[in-house]
Amino acid sequence: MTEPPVDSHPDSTLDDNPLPDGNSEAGVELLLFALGDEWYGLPVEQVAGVEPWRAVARLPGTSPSVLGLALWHGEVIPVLDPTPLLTGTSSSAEDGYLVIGRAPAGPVGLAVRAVAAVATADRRAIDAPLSAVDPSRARLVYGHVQVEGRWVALLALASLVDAAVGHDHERA
Amino acid sequence: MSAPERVVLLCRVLGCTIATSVVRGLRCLPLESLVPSDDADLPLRGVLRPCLPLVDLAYLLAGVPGEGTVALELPVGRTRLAFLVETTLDIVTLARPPAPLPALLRAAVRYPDCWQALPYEGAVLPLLDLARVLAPAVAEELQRQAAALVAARGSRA
Repeated sequence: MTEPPVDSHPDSTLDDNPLPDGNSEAGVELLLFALGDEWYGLPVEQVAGVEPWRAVARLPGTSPSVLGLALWHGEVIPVLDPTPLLTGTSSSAEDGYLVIGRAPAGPVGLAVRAVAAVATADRRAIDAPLSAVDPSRARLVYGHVQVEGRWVALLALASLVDAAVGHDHERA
Repeated sequence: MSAPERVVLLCRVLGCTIATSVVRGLRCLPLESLVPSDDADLPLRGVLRPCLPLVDLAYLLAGVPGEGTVALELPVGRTRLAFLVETTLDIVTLARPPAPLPALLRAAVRYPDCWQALPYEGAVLPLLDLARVLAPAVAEELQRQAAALVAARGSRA
């Protein structure tokens, strides 16, 4: 089920640690969302909001993972499509939602197919990325955990952002 | 005091709608008079008569030859260049000033210093400063290439 859009203040940025300091016994709250057929989670501290899909201005010459620019609360933000990087498949982002992540360089929109819920995961149950996973994709997640009956990959937001725009660094 | 309005031309490049500022001397030209060049000459696509270099904007932005039906001619340094675009769409007046391109995207585009973002009707338009994409020295070199092409084709005729 898709929940209504949620929102929070877009000011702060966090590093890529999905497990913020604190009581290691406590659970970690994750926003769960789908990319293709796979489920991913982002710690709520790294989520600035969830919005219905909106017009994104494409930029010529960028990689498929860079969708372009969108206006969010009066601010121009980059919009990325994580699906090709994480699943190896193309996406139909226009049908879904924008998860606004707090990346170190500022807010960034992530095109996702569906948003499920905010759920609490047991930190102790988080497994490292599977060794069988393609290393280029494995570095984009911190681990896997089962939440409410789903296997969820924990997204490494800063690494994802670097991967989406990084391969074009040399030509800039 | 309100901010000055900005007039921009909307056009399409590589399937994307972008805006470019309407500057003094900007002209939209058809390609009927095009003398085409070879692929080895890219980003030069040819010469519009009498001797206006036609530069492939898609090639500059993405490294792949583009398709187009319209050239945007404008002054670059001490010379003039025409940039090939797929088509022109509209001229619009914007009240809001452009915003910088988000820092994250500067690494994702070519010519990051030439891009800005224009809020427009609840969305955003990428704004490309065409006059700054190529340095004046490069523009003059393209002008020399164009003159050589015209001379070579003329001598063959």
